[in-house]
Amino acid sequence: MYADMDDVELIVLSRDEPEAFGAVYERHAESLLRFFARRTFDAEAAAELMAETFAEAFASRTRFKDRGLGATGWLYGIGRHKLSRYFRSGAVDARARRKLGMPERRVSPEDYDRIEELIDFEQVGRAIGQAFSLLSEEQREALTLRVIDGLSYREVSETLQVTEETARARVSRGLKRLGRELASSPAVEAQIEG
Amino acid sequence: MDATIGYVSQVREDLMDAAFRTGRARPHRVRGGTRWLPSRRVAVALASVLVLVAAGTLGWFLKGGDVARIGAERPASGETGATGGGLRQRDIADQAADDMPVPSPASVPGVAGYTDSANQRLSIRHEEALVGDAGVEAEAPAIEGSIPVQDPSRIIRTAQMTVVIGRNAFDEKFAQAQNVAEVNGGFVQTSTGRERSGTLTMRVPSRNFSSALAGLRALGDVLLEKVEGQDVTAEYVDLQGRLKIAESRLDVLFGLMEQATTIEQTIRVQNALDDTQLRVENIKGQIKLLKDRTSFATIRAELREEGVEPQEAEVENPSLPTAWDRAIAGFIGVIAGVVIGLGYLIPILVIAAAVWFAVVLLRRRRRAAA
Repeated sequence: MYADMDDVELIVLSRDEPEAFGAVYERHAESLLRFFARRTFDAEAAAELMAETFAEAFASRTRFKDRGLGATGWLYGIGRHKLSRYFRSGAVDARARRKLGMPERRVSPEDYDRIEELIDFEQVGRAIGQAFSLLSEEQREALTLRVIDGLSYREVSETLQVTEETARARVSRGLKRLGRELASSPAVEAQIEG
Repeated sequence: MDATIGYVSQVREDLMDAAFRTGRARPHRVRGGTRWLPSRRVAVALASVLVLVAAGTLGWFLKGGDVARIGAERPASGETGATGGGLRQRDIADQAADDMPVPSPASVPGVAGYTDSANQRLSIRHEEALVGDAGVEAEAPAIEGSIPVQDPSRIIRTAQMTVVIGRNAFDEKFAQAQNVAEVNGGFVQTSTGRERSGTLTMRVPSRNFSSALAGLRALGDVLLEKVEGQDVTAEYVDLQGRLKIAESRLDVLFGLMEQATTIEQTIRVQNALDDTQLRVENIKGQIKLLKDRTSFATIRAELREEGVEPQEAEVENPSLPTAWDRAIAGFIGVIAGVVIGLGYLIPILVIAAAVWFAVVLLRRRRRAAA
């Protein structure tokens, strides 16, 4: 019934015909879920964020206007906002769902596994490996000792025979670089938006 | 859609339930940006117009409020004595130290109730110590023994009065009005007499201000009486302080002049000396002017016989230039009103702006969430 309409039309239509929003949901629910799963690495949080995002989108569908980003931009905009709130507070709030009278569903063990599959750790791991390889030898060493082996900075500095400050600087610079590389990595980008 | 994730389909059902419950209940409201923006512009324009009108009205009232105190104030003798008393006493002391020449009070013929008691003579001497410096011959009679012991402070008094007199009495009353000035120790500055109406501007010693006004009131029916007082005590004190500083500087410079040995030094000190002397004279002149203006009040009285049109009406012929002048005056008046009103509105506007800013911020945040 709604198959031949695009997202913007559907959202506009949903103001008068709320069922139309179901079609929008069907088109984007899974990709949004993946979007959240890859950022939170937490199936439960990702599922809740997805539900909350759609609830919020539904509640504010009358305020939607096409700013050239289409429905996807709008949805992911809400999603990013929810995500940053989640990162700040460490919890997913249920405000929009409560406003609509939607129950907070639990994630079943089967769903848990499936959502984790969406994350595709293998691909993410590859991207991390790639980014890691771009670091300098010194940074890689320091990061491995500190993050993977879990040593204290004093131990790291003793192992590398540098001062503690240098060890700290290498780890911090390495992490920063890693974050930058991951953010701009084509592999990660493609997955996130895909 | 991956139907294998139970959570996803569950949320879909919840969403549709919610849509069914709430979606139909709430009618769709148009809040498109294209509609909101112009309406906001209109609202802003309306708000600014309202603010300007409010400011103008407020300013007009405030301005008018000052002018409309016609006849409301009549100075009682010694009314200002309480505020500036201490200060003025000191002035008197200063003046006395200057060995001011005190002219002996000459009795003015026709003034009843002048008693030459020592007490009154003392108070007159005080007044005259102040007046005398202004170079005005002070012939200060005591009117009905009501002279306050305290000096009429540094207040510039002006009054405007319109008195309507009986028919065919103009010449007599006009002469009486001039007499009021003399009786009160003052003088007539200008006078314009027509057949049945006239105006005169008189200056009387400040302490006789109220008795002069009373004398004018007694001439007929008072149509308008407007009394204004401008307190310049602070300015006066300030000027005296500056005079002292300048004079002490002068002393220092004279000392330096004596010590100067080279021509260059002499010239430099001389230059500074000239400047300072000029300043001393300047300040002295200002003090003298203030003394004159505060010692002598100005009363502008208009006398006219019953049934005679006000003089202004005769002067005013409707013409394009006067219309233009009036338009300009009116325009400036409106602007002045708006400026005054805005001054009063600024604190309110600041609060309103803060609230508006908060609302906009909140709205933007909410929209960012959407």
